[in-house]
Formats: sequence, C-alpha cells, structure tokens
Amino acid sequence: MDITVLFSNFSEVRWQMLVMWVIGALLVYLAIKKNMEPSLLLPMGFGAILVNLPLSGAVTQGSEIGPIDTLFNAGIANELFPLLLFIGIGAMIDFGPLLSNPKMMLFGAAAQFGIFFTLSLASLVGFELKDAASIAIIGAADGPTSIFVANYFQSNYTGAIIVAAYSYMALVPIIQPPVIKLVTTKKERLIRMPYNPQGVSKTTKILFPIMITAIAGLIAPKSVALVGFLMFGNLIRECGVLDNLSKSAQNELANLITILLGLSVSTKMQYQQFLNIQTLMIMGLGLVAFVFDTVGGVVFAKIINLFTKNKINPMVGAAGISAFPMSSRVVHKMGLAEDPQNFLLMHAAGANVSGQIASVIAGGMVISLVANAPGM
Amino acid sequence: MNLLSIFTALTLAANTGFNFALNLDGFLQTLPMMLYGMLGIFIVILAIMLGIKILFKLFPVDKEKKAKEKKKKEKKQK
Repeated sequence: MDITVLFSNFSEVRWQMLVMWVIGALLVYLAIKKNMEPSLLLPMGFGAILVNLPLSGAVTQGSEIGPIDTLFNAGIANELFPLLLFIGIGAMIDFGPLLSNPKMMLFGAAAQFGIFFTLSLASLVGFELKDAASIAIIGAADGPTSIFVANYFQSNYTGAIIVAAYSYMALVPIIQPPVIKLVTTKKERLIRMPYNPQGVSKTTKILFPIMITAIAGLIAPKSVALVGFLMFGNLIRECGVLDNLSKSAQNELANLITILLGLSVSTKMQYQQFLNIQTLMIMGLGLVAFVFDTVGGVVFAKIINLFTKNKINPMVGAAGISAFPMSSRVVHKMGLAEDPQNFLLMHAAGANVSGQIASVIAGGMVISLVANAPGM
Repeated sequence: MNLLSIFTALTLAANTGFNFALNLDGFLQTLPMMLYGMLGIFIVILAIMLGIKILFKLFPVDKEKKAKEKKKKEKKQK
C-alpha cells in the first residue's frame, strides 16, 4: 500500500468547495462575532463546511447514505422539524400586547405584502412558480415557515432561501430604518400614540390559540399545520397547568430542534446546488421582500390615518413583520430618536406579535394559491 | 451578506442553465395571487379580530375577577 492513499482525497478538492468553506466560515463569523441568528447560522455555517469536504461521509455518496441526509429526510423532508420548532416558538410568544390592543393585528396582515410582491417579481425574472413561491416566503421573516414552504414545494433553492431568511431576519435593524424613513415624513414619525390597554382575562388567553387554529383551519386549511403547532405551543404556555411542558417546549425542544434543523439544512448547501447565479438573485429578492413588507405596513397605517381621528404612527405598521422582537425594538428606538417622550414599544410589540400569526397564515395562503395554480 | 454575494458572483461564469428572459406570462399569473393572498390574510385577520371581540364580551376581566373574589369569600366563610 502506498502512503499517497492517505492524501488521495486532496485531489478531489474543487475550487467551489473552497468558496463554500469561506461561506461557511463567514456564517460562523457572523453568528459569533455579529450575533446574527447564531443558533441557526452557526450550525448552518459549520454544516456548509462539513458537506463540502471532498467525498464527505456526512452526506450521501453513491449508495452510502450520509447522516445529514438521513436527518434531512427524517425531519425536514417530512416538515417535522419546522413544525416541532413552532411548538417551542408558540410557547415563547406572549399574545398579551396583541390581545390588549387587537387593532394592531391589521398591521401584521399588511406587512405580508412583500411576500406577494416578491412572488410576482421572482416569477417575472424567470423562476418557476414553485421556486418563486418558496423565495417569496423569505418575506415572512420567519425561518420555520420559510423552511416549511420551500420544502413543501421541493424547491431547488432551499439552502439559499434559508440562509437569506435567517440573514435578513438578523439584519432587520439595518434594513428597516432607512426604508421607514424613506416612506414617512418627520411629522408622521412624531405622532404620539397613547397606550390604553384593555385587560385580558385568563379564559380569553386560553381560548385565543384554539380560536385562531379553528379560524385559520376553516379559511386557510393549508396553514393549519403551521398555525396549529404554533398555537398548541401557546396553549401549553397559557393553560397554567403545564408549566413544565411549556418550559421544555421553550428551551429543550426548541434548542434541540434548532441544532438538528441548522445542521440538516446544510445538506442543501452543497456547492453543486448553492453556487450559482440563482443564489445571488435569491439574496436580492429576499431583500426586496423585507423592504416591501416594511413599505406595506407603513403605507397601510397611512391609509388608516386618512379615515381615523386617533392617528397612528405609521412606523408601527413596519413592526407588522414576523421578526420578533427586533422589528418592534427598531420602531420603538426610531420613535424615541424623533421624540424622547414617544413610547411606541407596546403598540409595535402588538403589531409584531400579529406579524408572527399573519406570516404563518401567509405561508398557508401561498401554499394554497400556488398549489392550486394551473400547471402545478 | 456582501461577501457572500461576492463569492456567489464569482460563479456567474458557470453555465447554470437558468432562463434569464423576463417571464411576463408568469408575472401576470401571479398578480391575482397577490390580490387573493392579501385578501385572504386580511379576511383571516379580521375574523380573528372579531373572535377576540367575542371573547372579550364573553369573558371580561371584571367578571373573572369577581368570580375569583367570590370564591375566596366563600372559602373564608367556610
């Protein structure tokens, strides 16, 4: 036996692999140094290196099934991981600010505009409808929903879509302020909103997740898996008798699934699938989705102001995206920067929590509409 | 993500087989989806808002507080 056998794998290294290692390292760097969605970007970054090693045993090579592919098939191909993660997220969400100020729900709906705008734009630039829908859902600003929809349509670009979704979620404090400033006047940004929350009974908090599941199920049945798991998590939290389960869902379950999710998604980051012009376009389209989500929310608030006496600060509309709590913090900080006595946090938090519900419903809507489109 | 974009841009030269022609038909196909999608989300949200109103009517905080106080009083009396 020749000693060169030990080094034979070196000849299998391709320049594209080197590029993917750098991308993986960049994701790890962003996760650690910039604290950008570290729980997902770090496993994905490491995974990107892992799956792009020559003849990597972590992924399927010929007839040998790799463990990361096994994980992907066990948890993502059947949509299990995103749904389980939703139980944890549901257990983390406090719908209190929303329930005490239900009008804010409308902004959650309006701020999904970027999804549908991007769907049209992605179709225009040549993506197949199923891929365009998967790309558009980056605008949901909700990682598990993006994974769920991209996987539902078996998109060819799942890896790029997930990287874009989580990256832009982390970049909300950078993306939103200039867009908000662009579409609002100083006078509008100075609008003060008194906060008079109405009390919420415990029964209301318990029945709320059940009611949402029923309504979403009746009107948008495709969204019921996403909504149902999210609301089940919230029911565990609010029922008051399952504190241990609630804590487990918020911590152990969410953490475990996050680890597995990040790592198994990286199978879609093999250079053959990831390094292409489409990835670049997906990054651009994802940004468009976030920008138009923000514009949608702000413009909707402006439209409401045309008809109401008690004016709404249009910046609150921008908090209707699902990126919680980043978006509400952005709006609150911008409000304070304009007027140190203008406290928008609770209004923005209401809109932001509503965005979490609306983004999941939007995911279901996109699936329903695209799956029923002619030619699908 | 600028660096990421640069790295992916390096691969532009590769033939990806992607059709860059503008797809107007596809675009027009998605316009009704935009309308129905947004309409659908607003319908669901409005239905949820209505549901919240009903929940508030059926289970106001005062009612629950009073019921709790009543229970406490009854316990004390016992």
